[in-house]
Amino acid sequence: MILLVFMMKVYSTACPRNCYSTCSLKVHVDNGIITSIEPHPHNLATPEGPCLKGLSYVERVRSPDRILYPLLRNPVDNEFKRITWNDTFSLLSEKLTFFKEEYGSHSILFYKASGTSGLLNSVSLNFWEMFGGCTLTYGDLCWPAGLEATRLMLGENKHNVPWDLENAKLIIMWGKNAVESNVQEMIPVENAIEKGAMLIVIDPRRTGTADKADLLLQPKPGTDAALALGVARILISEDRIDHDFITRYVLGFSRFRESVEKYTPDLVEQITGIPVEYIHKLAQSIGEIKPMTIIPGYGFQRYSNGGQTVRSVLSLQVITGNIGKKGACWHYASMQSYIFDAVHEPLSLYPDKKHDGIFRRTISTAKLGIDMLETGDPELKMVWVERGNPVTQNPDTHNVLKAFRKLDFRVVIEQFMTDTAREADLILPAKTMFEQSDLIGSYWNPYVQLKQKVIDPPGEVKPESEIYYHLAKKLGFRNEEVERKIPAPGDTPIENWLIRKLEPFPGLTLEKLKEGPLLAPNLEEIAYSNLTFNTPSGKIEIYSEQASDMWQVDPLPSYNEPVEAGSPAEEKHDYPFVLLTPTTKNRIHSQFGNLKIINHFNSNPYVEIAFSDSRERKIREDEMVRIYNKRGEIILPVKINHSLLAGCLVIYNGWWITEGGGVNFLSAPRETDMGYGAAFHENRVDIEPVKKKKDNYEP
Amino acid sequence: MNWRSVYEFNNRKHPFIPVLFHSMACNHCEEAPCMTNCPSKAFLRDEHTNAVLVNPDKCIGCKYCAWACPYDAPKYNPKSGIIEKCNLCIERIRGDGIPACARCCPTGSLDYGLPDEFTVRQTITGFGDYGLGPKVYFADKDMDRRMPEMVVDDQFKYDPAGLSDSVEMPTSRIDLKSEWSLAVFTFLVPFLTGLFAGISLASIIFPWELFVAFGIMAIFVGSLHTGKKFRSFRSVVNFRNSWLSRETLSFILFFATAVYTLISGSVYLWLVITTLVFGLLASFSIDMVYNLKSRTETGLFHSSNAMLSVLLFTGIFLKAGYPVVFILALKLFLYTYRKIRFYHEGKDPRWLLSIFRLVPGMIFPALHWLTDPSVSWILILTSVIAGEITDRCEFYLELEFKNPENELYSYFKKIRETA
Ligand code: SF4
Ligand code: SF4
Ligand code: SF4
Repeated sequence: MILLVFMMKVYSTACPRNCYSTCSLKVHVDNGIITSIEPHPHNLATPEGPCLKGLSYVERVRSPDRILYPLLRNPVDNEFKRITWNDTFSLLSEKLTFFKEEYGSHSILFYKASGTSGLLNSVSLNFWEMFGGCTLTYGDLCWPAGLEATRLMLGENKHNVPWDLENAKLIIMWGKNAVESNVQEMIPVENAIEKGAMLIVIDPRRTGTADKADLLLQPKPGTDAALALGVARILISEDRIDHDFITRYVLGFSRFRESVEKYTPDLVEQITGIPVEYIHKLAQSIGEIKPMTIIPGYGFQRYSNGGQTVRSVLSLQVITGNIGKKGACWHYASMQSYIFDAVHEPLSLYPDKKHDGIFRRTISTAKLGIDMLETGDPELKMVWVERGNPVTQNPDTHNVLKAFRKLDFRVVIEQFMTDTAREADLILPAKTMFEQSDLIGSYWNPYVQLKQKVIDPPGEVKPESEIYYHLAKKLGFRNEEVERKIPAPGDTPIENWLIRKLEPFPGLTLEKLKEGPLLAPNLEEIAYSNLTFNTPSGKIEIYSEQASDMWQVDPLPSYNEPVEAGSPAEEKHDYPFVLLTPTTKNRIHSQFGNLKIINHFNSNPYVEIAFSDSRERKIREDEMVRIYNKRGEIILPVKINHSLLAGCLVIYNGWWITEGGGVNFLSAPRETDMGYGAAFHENRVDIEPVKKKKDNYEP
Repeated sequence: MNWRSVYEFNNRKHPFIPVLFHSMACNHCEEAPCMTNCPSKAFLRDEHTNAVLVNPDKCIGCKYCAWACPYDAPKYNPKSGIIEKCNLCIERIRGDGIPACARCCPTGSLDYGLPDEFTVRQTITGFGDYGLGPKVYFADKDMDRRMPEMVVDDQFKYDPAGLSDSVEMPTSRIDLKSEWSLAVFTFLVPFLTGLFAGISLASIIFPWELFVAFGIMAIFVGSLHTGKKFRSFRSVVNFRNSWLSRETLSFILFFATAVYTLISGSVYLWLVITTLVFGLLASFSIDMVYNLKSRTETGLFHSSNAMLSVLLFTGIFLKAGYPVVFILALKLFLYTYRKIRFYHEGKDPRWLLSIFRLVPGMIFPALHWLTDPSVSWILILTSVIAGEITDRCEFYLELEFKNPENELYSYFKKIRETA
């Protein structure tokens, strides 16, 4: 017994998923095996611990499906065969040298996504830089339109600490379903409700969060800007705005006032489908209840008008003076813990303006498939994918697949046989978060955290930094440059590398971080409390010349009819439904769904349809249906939802194609109006029962 | 196996009613009916924590505790053939931790401690008060019936009467397919008792070998119901508390004395009477086994009540016309009354089956006994047997015990009635 206790060790670490929460965790390790994951109470934003995904790491690390060795596809029978690292490095160096010499280094596409966060991810770019460059992608699938919108208006992206939500008297979850996507946020939200706050949810779905709310408004997808501007008009005309705040800190208010004149309640009802009475109700709450925090989600900015929509909603926060105070906050994203980045997103996502650098060529993340296909001089010949699953997750799957299959050589670093790994020629086994230490920040909580190494990688797994190190040596890069730019294999070089990153921050040491999360230096618990704004004018720019210069949009927030969603114009009639592809609680996009424990709770993808639509279409619960448009189709069982806004279909994103999912067969390769995001939440589709039986439906 | 279940109510999200979740495991009740009723004394109470635990080496997998518990806490594991349930993570508590569910709930919705550390109440929508002293308390927040005000667009012609479209009636976990062995057993016990009375008191000619075969069949089929058949002898050990133990024990005693009497050709009346008393006791126990507090229907006044059936069969074998007619009339009354009640409550009265049960099962034999004694006795016996079996099968089709799903559904029914 004593011996057992002795061998059992508890480590502090943090979850590096692309998830708001970025929970701190305590990992129990017994003899090299992770036995349990428990909460880490030092993180005030996640005091009660991780979600089910976090708990499922116990399985994920030791899953029998994990890829533990380099695998090479045998072109004869298309099966993957295990090969040694030696052969792997020889093959890679041969391929890389060949493509570089034959077509130039830009015939190689390096594609990375947000599968795991950490400073060591930057090592990959150091490698490709030494290699002489390669083609990169610009933009991002996640959040750039909203980031850019916020940056244009407020100057930067930061918000109050999560626990400040308790101080709000009005909380509006605008398109966010925290119950599923950020469950720990519900702790301060429920505390606020208990203290008498009002919660309003704006979402076409009646989500779990909506069921905690006082009011649910269900606008037609893509029309939120009209709703916000209509509310702004009411607030202004009823004089429920903060004149003092506006005069001192806001640029362009009078032009804004004129521009919202046209959003009369009747027009807004017509556009959004929300009755005039409820538009007034929303305006009344916003005008009367202070302090107010709006928590916008990321879904509604993945529309062709996403950036302008976010600016419109943000303007409500501004004209009511709900900025820089306790409980008053624009809760979109906070970069306060990203202390190591010289340039923050969204700016770091933009394509390099100079076209002569080492990475002189970038292609669009949102249009990955067609861009890969259309890129010439040199054409793409090889892809290297890490931390991502573009075949499942990027828009326009047909073209992404086509582009992948057109290449001569595909390398994928993965933990599991994802849809992308299946397309590879060479799969390199990827580490998990427990197998190499790294530093991470969070876009929701204000902590800098050490994602600590707690076990050795199993099988022959090598962290990416080691792969690059060996490959760089194999390729004969200058030794001294390699040593400078890529940490050598082993725990000590990694720790030294991290210690060097921490040097500018005397309060943060590796030793302290090993104990638990540390608040970011210079943290503003209440963001903008000093009321200075990093915009060209130094004020909150409700009127932004930058917006029109950079993105050719109205300098003022405006409602622009979305390309596909919105009110159906002529050619949209072919596909009468708007497809919503939200995230769900038990997966982060395409991660986790392959685990047994997750499957136990969510085992099959399905599509949801509104009750009235199901009657009209004579579609019955659990029937197989085809959801299709001109880009593709998927076939799924259907569930009837009695509170979903009619005209919408819902499929959770992230289901693998091999699991019967693959929503992106239906999505369009389209960029958002600003920030180079992907407007892939905006897709029209139609639905029909798979087998057209005789009309024997009786409601 | 999941020891903790999260019951979701209104998962299709009917716009007029809230979506509710109930996360429930064992409540480690003060008056634990699972423990009292377990025939094999497989339950014990942990001294240190008062947790209610199952000893896997003693459990015979009869699932009786799952019927007795209104919170659906004991979970039958078909792989191991025994019951498993929440054990309050006693190893963690001993190692000064708290239960894993409370530790890991990411929103802090589950907590562990002494009730006076929290502001609590004992009831919540869907959590019935059965007077068992459950050791679970609810935070005194008014969140359970919260639902948002929302625009229910009547352009969709939402039909409020069609509420049942959206809320599924929970399906019963007990049905004839899984319980057929019990139906056979509980039919055979009164039948054999009546038969024995006939053989020993009215000199009915019946080969004792066949009687033995029927008895062995009853025991064998009865044990089919348990998950651990080779251990099912344990089902008698809790005769002090459990009617299930008493049922098994009294039947075995009945069978043993009956076989002895028949084989030895004994003429002692006291032996015959003792045997019949055991038989009656076995049937009475059957009725009591199903008379659990957690049952949704009251068990005793049922037309397939085993005591009535004993009397019926005894009457038939003793060829006592008027008592038989009287009992058949009583059964007829109970049966029709139940069906009419079902009809009014919106349950399926199974009309076709009812006609079968009524006409050949009760009306035909009664009328014939009264009007036309020339009708063959065997024909009457056969039609009574057919009617009894039908009724017993219906008994299992209707059998249902309270559980959180039912409890939530009855909340919904209340809403519907007021809508
Ligand atoms: S996925 Fe998100 S909520 Fe779950 S453990 Fe990781 S950071 Fe926390
Ligand atoms: S909850 Fe059920 S199983 Fe647990 S003690 Fe109470 S009656 Fe027994
Ligand atoms: S013997 Fe029966 S009542 Fe006792 S624990 Fe096992 S299944 Fe439950």
